[in-house]
Amino acid sequence: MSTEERRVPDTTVEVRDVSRWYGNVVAVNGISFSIGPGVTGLLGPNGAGKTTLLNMMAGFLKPSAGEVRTLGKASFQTPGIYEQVALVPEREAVYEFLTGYQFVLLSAQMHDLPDPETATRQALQMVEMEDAADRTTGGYSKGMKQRIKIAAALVHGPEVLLLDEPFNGMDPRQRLKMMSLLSHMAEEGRTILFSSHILEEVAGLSDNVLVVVAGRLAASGDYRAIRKLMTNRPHTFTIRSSNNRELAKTLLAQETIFSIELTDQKLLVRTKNLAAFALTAPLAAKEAGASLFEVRSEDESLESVFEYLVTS
Amino acid sequence: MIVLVLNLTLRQLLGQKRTLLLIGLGLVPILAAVIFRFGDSNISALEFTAEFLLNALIVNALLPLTALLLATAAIGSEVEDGTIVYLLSKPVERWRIVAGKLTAAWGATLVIVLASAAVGGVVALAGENDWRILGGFVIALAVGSLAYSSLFVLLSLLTSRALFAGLAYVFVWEFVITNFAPGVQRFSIREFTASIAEAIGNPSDLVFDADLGTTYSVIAIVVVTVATAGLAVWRLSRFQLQETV
Repeated sequence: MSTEERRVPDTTVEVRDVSRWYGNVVAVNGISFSIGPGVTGLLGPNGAGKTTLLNMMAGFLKPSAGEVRTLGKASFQTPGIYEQVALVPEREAVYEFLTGYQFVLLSAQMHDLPDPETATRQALQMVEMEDAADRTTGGYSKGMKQRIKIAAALVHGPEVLLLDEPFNGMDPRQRLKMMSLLSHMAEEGRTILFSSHILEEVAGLSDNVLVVVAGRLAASGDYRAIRKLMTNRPHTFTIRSSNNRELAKTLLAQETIFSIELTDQKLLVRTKNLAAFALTAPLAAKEAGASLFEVRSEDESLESVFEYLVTS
Repeated sequence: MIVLVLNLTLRQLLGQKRTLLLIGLGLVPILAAVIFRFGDSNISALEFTAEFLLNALIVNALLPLTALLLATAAIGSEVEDGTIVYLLSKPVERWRIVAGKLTAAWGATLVIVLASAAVGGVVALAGENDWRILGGFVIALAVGSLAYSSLFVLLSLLTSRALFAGLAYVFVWEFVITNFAPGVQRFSIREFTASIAEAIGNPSDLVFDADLGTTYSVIAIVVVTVATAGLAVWRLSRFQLQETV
């Protein structure tokens, strides 16, 4: 189905003031956000509440407080949402006595698709599992189980695909292939939300992140934009120039410079004001008579943003 | 959809060790009948068949144990390992899933229990003229196994310790407490089953005598079956994934 044929709402999943607790333990604490078509990474350390959030969005957990709506409907106790929503759970368990083909076909048949066999073959092809489709899933590796679970989830072409740690056990090639598949689905206007505690996975697939720490939403949005808003953390740059020593002296006179480390080949500059630094660095270089070869941000990566959020 | 769930569950059950164990247990009454047939016993074949073979061995022990192990395997193990998500994440009414699971558990129980009762009964009653007691028990076992299966499917959805809860019901409530507190018999699937067997088989009181009235037993077993199946649907529609944090 092409993007033009589908009417895709701006917001597909809405989480409003949601909390979830187990006895005295608070797993998710007053979280609100909404997401729409595209890829969003749900990032957080182990035990942060990612799986709890995903399960609430998928209708498998009732929020203790607040409301979760998926495609405009309350997620919990609404089996009808599964016509357009799919979940790939984190748990490895599958029906081990079924072959890969039978497992995906079961999913297609339970969705009452008009041609379940064709849909099954297409889904298997998308995750490159045709060759292993006739083997029982009990003999699959962890990565193969992940792929067959994903095939079963997308066999009916869901608008919203929720994946809990989907790349677990996949080798690098499979991981890249899966990232490409999910990106392609997002380009078609589908909503893809995946959780991960591995930063490279999230950074490789999505700029848009939800960072959950200790049950709370620590940040949401484009992680580079999040970094720019973290004004209490100095921005770190590496500068290589024709005269590092003179440039360091000139930069130190600037009020916006927090600290400078001079090494043999480069300067490590920390500034509190990113915008001012962007303006003054070239002027400082000119004043010092130095040619700038490289100015590179060292902490705009998702890893740095995540580290700041988790440790703050 | 019911057939899909039914087929899936039957394949699940066939691959389990507990099913093989139950098939082995189903051979015990047949073995007992063979020993009776070729042994030297003072009691009549009719009395042995009704009181010992069908009532004591099958209704009291094999039936509840088989229904318990198969019903908990049919849905409880899926809840435990999380594969139930693959059924519940589909736009399918929850009653259809319960119906498929219950039918599979009931069907598998029926095969084991009825095969054991029929073969054992035929061996024990060979040469006898009156076969009504066997017919009565076969029908009662079919009805009783549905009631037990429905109860144990519900238990599987209520607790992760359904097996223990079911064993407590069968061996503590039905076996021990009903002997010490006769009023409790009115709340026992075993007693309903025995009463229906007696009503249909119509044996002499000297051969087999159930404790409850037929009308009460029929109504009670229907109520138990319908109520527990309905509660199972209600429970499944509010199913939540178990998590620990």
